[in-house]
Amino acid sequence: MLPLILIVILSIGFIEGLDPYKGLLFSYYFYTFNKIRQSYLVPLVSSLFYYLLGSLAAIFFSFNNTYLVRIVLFSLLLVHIVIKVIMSKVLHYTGNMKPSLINVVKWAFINSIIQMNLILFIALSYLFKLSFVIIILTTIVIKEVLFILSVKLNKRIMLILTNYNFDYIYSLAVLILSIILLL
Amino acid sequence: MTLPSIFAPFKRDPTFYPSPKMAIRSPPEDLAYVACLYTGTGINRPDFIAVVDVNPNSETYSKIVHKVELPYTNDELHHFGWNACSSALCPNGRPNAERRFLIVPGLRSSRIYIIDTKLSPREPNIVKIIEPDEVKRVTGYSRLHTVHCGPDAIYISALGNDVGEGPGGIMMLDHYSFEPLGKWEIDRGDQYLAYDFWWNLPNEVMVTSEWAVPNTIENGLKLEHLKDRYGNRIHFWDLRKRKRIFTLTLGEENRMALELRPFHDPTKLMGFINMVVSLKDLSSSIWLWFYEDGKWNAEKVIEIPAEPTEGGLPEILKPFKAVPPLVTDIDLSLDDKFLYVSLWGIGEVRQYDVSNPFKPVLTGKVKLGGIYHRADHPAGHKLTGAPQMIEISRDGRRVYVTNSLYSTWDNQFYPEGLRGWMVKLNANPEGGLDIDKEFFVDFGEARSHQVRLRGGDASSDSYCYP
Repeated sequence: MLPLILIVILSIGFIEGLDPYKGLLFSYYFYTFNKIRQSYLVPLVSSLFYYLLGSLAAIFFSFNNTYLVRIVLFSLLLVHIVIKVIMSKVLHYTGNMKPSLINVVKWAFINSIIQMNLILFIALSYLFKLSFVIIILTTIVIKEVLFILSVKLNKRIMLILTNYNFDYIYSLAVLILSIILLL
Repeated sequence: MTLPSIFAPFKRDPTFYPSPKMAIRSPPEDLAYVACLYTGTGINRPDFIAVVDVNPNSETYSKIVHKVELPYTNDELHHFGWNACSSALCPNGRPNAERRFLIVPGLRSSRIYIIDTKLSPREPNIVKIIEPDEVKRVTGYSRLHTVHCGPDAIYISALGNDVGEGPGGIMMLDHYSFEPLGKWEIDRGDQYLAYDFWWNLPNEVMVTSEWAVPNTIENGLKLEHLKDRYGNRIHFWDLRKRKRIFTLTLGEENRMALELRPFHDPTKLMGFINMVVSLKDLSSSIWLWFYEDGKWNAEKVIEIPAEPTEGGLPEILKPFKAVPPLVTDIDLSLDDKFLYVSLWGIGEVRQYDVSNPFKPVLTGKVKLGGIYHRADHPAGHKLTGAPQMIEISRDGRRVYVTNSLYSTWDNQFYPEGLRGWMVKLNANPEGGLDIDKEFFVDFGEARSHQVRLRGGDASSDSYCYP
């Protein structure tokens, strides 16, 4: 079971890292305004603050391994998916447009609350306590690599990634996770 | 009339581009939506949005393939825009927006039509109507003009308050329900007149311009009003705090500060604006506004003189014995290289190379209609009116021109009558402009105003990346 859980955790981290709205666009934004150093810090800052609440929840919540807990977490994940799919249009804080790291922090933290991503982290911590560390590290690495590739090699990567709605891919991965939770 | 599903599409809108440079490489447009009006023509028919085929490989090229007839008369269609555009790709933009609905306000009625172009781009349909009473009740504004798709809402400028006086300003519409949200301004200072607006999103600056209040303009231009009822200022606003931060007067003698064209490259905090007429000599001018050393400045960079003549003048111009150029619209190509200028009085479209924005160079011009030139289309079509609204394709190769300014003013300057037309100009990327002989759209008794190209054009989208 553990390999399957690890695959799902890594997949979610990978998908979150690929979503250009969660890092790449911000990095490129800083870069185009000649804030080169900050542009490379964006993946770290955006990931840390987007997952801050979820990580704290994962650290401080602990559950007994009962069927009831599984059903509750499964239901929460389903609600998370449904809300993500049908309300993703409105679950979004726009915030300040100026390219500053403080604005990235605000944007990441407020959107993490609006989008209730701590549900995911609570469920993951039930399966594997340190999963939040894996997700955060994976997203930071993916965001950083994508940004470097976009800048150094080809901006087309950004154009391709902005073509897709990663909310649906994310929801699919969370659905698989919720099924694993029941197994 | 039903609004679409709440689900966001899996594929994001392919017409959104992070930067103008990327948008330049997008596929060419295939359809143009044109605001057409019967208001002021004496014909009691509702205005319409014409769908024009602009794909040269199509059998219906240069033809009107559909008309979206409005249910009311006397709306006076004028400017319109998209519900969403490339600003959705700003890092904090709305990730799930799509360019789907045309937001079409009536300048005279203050009614707003929401037109869906996705299900059938060649036969779009009205999905929602926001009545004028609702607009006035929620926002206190009326006479709606420019539409821009912001990252957090749809913004629409209004020329006046609910009784046709000032102050005019900006209202917001919800991105998804299209309900009016309210007045945008929190602290407007002494800003009273309104007209156009645009912004530089990363620097959080909005710029607004001044025409006049509705009660001054709606029954025609009165020369005695020029002295003190028309604006000559631009206002700079803090986009986040919704507060006016600075105002510039663009020449004490100039009147009617109209179209704002900021540079598409958002790292350049500058843009152009046209001043329609000088009280001193009837000339028109174009000013460059820019931010330098911590303050806002503006400089006149183009001046176009009036042409002396005595024959064929309309009543309103007879005392002057000259034709003013009447620069009523300008448009900037996506690469920020060429500025196109329409001379609605004389009858010309000019192309200026603005690579050095402080020293524009005239690189091309064509003659179309006009009180002065009276030039016909090279394919033999008689042209009434003169070039007015200009729209440039994203790649900058094609320029579409229509000929109506504003119904009551059309009747004053072209009393012999004005039939709507649309002409296409081919622009040389190295500079130069010529009229496409194969393309001519005759709207008949209806008049034509703004053109929007499917997928976006040079005045529809805002970008966050250079």
